[in-house]
Amino acid sequence: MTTNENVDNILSETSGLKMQFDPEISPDELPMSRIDNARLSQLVADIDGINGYSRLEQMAIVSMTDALSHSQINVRSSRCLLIMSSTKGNISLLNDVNEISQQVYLWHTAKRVAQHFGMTTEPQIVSNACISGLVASIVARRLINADFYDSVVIVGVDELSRFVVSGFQSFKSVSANPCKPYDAARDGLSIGEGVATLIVTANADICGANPIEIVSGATTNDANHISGPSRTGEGLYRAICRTMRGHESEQISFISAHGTATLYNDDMESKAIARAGMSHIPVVGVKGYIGHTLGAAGAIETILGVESLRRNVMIRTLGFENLGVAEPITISNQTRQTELHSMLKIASGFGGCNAAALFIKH
Amino acid sequence: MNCITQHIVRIANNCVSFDGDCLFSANRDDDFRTFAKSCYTSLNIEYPKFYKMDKLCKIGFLAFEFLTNKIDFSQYADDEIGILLSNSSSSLNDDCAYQPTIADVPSPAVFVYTLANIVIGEICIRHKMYGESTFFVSETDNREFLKQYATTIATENSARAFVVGRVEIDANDNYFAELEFLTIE
Repeated sequence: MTTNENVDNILSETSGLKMQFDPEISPDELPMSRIDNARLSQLVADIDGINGYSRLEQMAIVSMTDALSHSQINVRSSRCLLIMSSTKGNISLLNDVNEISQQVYLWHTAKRVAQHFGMTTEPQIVSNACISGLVASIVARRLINADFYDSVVIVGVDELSRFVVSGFQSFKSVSANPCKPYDAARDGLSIGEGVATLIVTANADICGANPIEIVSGATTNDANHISGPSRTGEGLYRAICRTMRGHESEQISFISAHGTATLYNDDMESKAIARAGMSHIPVVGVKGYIGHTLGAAGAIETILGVESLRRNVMIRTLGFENLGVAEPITISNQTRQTELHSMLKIASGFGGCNAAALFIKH
Repeated sequence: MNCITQHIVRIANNCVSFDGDCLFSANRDDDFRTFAKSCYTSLNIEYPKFYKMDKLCKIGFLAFEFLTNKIDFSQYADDEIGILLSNSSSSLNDDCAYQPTIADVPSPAVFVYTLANIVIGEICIRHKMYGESTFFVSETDNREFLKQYATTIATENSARAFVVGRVEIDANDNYFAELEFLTIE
């Protein structure tokens, strides 16, 4: 689905999470958000030469083709960089551990994608758990501001696989029902897959109406636990503070938060947000629509937030009904038309990593 | 802004060197598990979490430990040192350990390590570091890119020094680790 189709569905509060049984992915029937294979095949058929590519590679190329068709950047320039954001890439191709295909390597995937578009610079891959997609924007901003590149194409992509779903299930962190971010009755995440492309450039003039500026961003670590978030939200709090440094007077319109709907993540976010003095700012969580898309999440959710800013529509946190987190933060629970100016995007992931970035509409 | 390499730790071929001098070495024929354990023992630290780590975390943790043993970090606040690491195989070594458990009883203790950035997490937990960090994947050593990126972080005063490097272990336990401690001037 294109950006517009996704946004239209979200604004009409239609969820992409559907109860599905797919033994390739899990022995259990689970709510999942999936890319429609028939639609993907159609789009793949319109692009030369990618028929034999892996599904994930096709997703990335289809997405980038669409994004680049609306952009004026010169993707072949030595001043253009590809950053791929993915947690597990082609992991579904890892079957026999004694005979590992080169396709399993993330660099191989990025290279294949870059070569398809005739890119001339070495791609970089951010593989940093669930914050990867947001980190890619933070990296892009810094590189462009320092004049190392004129434009950065970010593609965030992850697909559903038995590997990943079995892992999350082994943690008992997957809900049997569509996830309920920040809700008192929440009991785990919903899995999703997806791909998104963002084009970041130094030149605001080529960005069309209402260019969105990535004004600041930061990454931190909780220094606490490798799979559980900090009980005090220390890392995320520091990421927010560093991001807001120099922009303290910015009246943030909304926070696009991580909201996985696990007990610990949502509690931790509420603590970090409250500590930062932002309990009054509406929090939007979109995983009730698209599930947790892992390496693609930061990218997809940033785009949804950007569309929110452009259309002046606050998204409803689908799945949320009654506040059930440690701190009394404000959750957006209504789709509504309202003047929006800036977004703080936050994310957290395994390994105690956190990221935050501030986006302002011009 | 320029990156000044102050110190380098390298672990390869069952030998640990600091600024080119051999700090510790073991029998070339020792397998990784044996070698890693002997490194740990030689460090004389009490850190039982080491034994739960996957191999990528072990090699990264050890390299960082040998590095910090010889450097005084106390002049830096707990979020002033950035960590930028990369490799080409991501967490493939642990992915191969996890994959066979899927058909039987998927192991959360193994699954948690199927993300390369966990090595940064283990380092930050051990050394109480809250600063900037990111794990990248690239086909070949992208040290120049990491250093370029480090200067951009320093420019906005988000870090004063960095540990930058390559931490790698493939599906056959062939490993390599090299960490540079950089200051930015």
